Parts: sequence; C-alpha cells; structure tokens
Amino acid sequence: MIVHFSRNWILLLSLATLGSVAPARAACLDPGSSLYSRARALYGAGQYLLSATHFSQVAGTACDADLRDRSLYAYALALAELGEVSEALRTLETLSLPQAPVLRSFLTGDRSPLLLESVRLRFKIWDERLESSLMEPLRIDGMSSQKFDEVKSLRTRLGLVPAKSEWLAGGLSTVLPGAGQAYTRNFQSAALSFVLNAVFLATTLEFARKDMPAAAVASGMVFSVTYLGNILNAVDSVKRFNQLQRDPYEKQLRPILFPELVP
Amino acid sequence: MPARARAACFCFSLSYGFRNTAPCMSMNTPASRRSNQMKFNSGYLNLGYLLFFIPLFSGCAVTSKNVVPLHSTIDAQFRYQQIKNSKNSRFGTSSGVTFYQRVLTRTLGSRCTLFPSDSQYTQSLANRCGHVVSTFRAMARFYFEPDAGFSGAPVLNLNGKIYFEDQPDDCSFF
Repeated sequence: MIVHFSRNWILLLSLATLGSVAPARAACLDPGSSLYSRARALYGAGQYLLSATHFSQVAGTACDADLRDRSLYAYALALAELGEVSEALRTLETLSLPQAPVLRSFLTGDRSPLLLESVRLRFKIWDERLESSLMEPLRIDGMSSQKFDEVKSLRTRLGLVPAKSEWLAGGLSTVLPGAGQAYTRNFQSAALSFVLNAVFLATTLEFARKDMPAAAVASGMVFSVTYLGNILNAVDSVKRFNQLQRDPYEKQLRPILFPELVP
Repeated sequence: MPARARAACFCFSLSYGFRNTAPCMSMNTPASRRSNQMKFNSGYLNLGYLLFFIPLFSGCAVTSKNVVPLHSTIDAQFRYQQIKNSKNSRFGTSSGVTFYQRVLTRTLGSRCTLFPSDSQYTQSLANRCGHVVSTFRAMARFYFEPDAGFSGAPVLNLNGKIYFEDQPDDCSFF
C-alpha cells in the first residue's frame, strides 16, 4: 500500500516537473533566432534604445549560453551608444567573452587590463588618430594586409584633415562679433551674431548718450550676454566643424580596428 | 502689394531703421498716407525701438540643404531624459524660463528647430550647471540655430517636423 502510494507520488511529481519545464523549453530562443537578427538590424539602423530592449529580451529567453552572452554583450554595446556607460560596465562584469575587455577599455579609457599586444596596438592607433605627425602604424597580428592598408590610408587622411583653431575663432569673435563663426563658414550664425551685438551695443550707447543710465545698464547687461554668447558659439562652432571633418574617416576606421565593437 | 507683404516690409523697415521705405510701398497707396508713413519711419524712431523687433528674428532658423540621414528620435528623447534626470541636478530651475514655458510659449507658439527646445535646454542647464553658465550657453545655442544643419547636427523627425539634436550635456564655458 505504502509502495503503491509513493509510486503514485513519484509519477505525479514527474508529470508536474515535465509540465512546468516543457512550456519553458518551448519558449526558448534558438541561436538563429529572428529576434536576435531583428535586434542587430535595429542596432545597425542606429536605433540603440530599441535594439537594447530586443537584446535584453533575447538574453532573458535564450536557451543557448553562447546566444545569451552575445545578446548581453550587444545589450552593453547599445547602452554604451546611448551614454549609459555605468549600466554597460555593470553588464560587462557578468560576461567572460574575449571581446568584453576591449569594450570595457574603450568605455573607461583604461588600457592597462588589455593583455594582448595586438589589441594594445589597435588602441594606440585609435588614440593617436588625431595627431598630425604621420607615423606609420605598426603591423598588427591577425589583421589582413588589405585591412592594414585601409587603416594606414584612413590614418593618413585623418592626419591631413584641416583642423581649425578654437583660439583663433574665439579671438576673431572677440574683436568682431560673428567673425569667428564666419571663419568656420557658419555665415548665418555670423550674421545673426553681428546684428544682435550691433543692435545691443548701439542701444546701450544711445541710452548712455541720452543720459538714461538705468536703461543703459539694463541694455549693457543684455549686450554682455549676447557678446559672451557669441564668443562661446564661435569656439563651439570650431569644435563642431573639426568633428564634422573627422567623422567620415573615424566611422570607417573604428569597425576596422575594433570588429569587437559590432554586435 | 498684398497686405502680408506690406506688413513684412513695414516691420523690416522699422527693425532696421531704414530712412526710406519707398520700395516697400504700393503704388496705389495714397500720397498722404505714404508721406505719413515715411515721416513715422524716418523722424520718430531711434535705436531703442529696435529692441522690440528682435523677437521677429528669433527662431527664424533656416534649414540647410546639407543635412545627414535621420537619427533616432527615441534615442534623442531618451538621452534628453537621461540628462534631465541626472543626479547632478542641484541648482534648481529658472523661474524666468518657467514663466516663459508656462505662459509666453503658449501664446507665442514655438518655432524652434532644435531638440530639446531652447527653453528646455536652458532649464536643464540651469538645473545642473547654474544660472550664469546656462544664460551664456543658451545665447550661444541661439546663434547656433540658423546653421545647425550646416554644422552636421543630427537630424530628427519629431511629430512630422524636422529638428536638429543638440543636447544640454556640456557645462563647460570653453
């Protein structure tokens, strides 16, 4: 009687266990999951927030440990693109993938944990990409000669990109409002800056000439804001101009040097 | 000359203090009215009046043809919320900007082509970087607006309208 009872219990327990596991296994994502492909496509299209949520879903439901790790890594990449560096680093801590230290080093700027010499060399080329001295990049192990020639060519072109001086732009706008913006070819900003500053300076002088000190002070304060804002804008416009010139080369160079930074 | 064009011409002549506005006038404007208008434009305006016409030019950003492909609007909004809700917020909001957002912008409408809008940008900077920095940075951004497309700012499509992304992430002066 007791044996029969316990056998029934074992049978029931086995059925219950199977019943609870079977649907979970059915909801599991296989390595060739379309959700993962969709997430990658979103990442490629620059939709980082959407891709991060997709990668997170894949990581949560993947049966395969490799797919789960790859999804978590891609999730960290998407977060990094969104500026969520701390969350990305926290995710990377849980991963033991070989590419995780590369992304960590890229985000933190700390090159010390990189053990592989080839990875260090790649970071050296990336970190020195803006230096004008055209040093020949050293040969990198594991990189095809065609890729290496591309790196050399991009590095040369980056070194030749005409960079404008922030100090010169700021100085020009200090002397003549709008001149710094014209230096970076932002002519509409230059015109607006010149007109606004001229108007407020003229108004301040006019009030002072007509012996209206309170109005002159008020207008002068507004002028000080428009004047300093004009210098700030000139410096910012140089930063933007320089970045715009470098962008096409950097966007080509990064995936060649760091194929790990693509999900 | 259509009424709208005449009004635009008149505002233009007022704001720039032109002495002679004859080209702006229609030939069928009565001679007496024409002379009165000229007298008004030439005789009784001084530079102080120009202050009142500055808003005419504010927000008149010209969209450059040199634009890049559209960027993700969701990501831009997420980044803005991320900056807005940053833990570094310690200075409090600007009451002047709050007044502008709650009262003036509802009346005047918004013509800003940058995302986030100038007032949101200023408010966010005031909260994180202080009121002095936010004032000068907001002014610098106002100058940036007409050439945002030319400068390569990311382009967004928000509710069917084109915007340029410029996040309030920089507290530095230079």
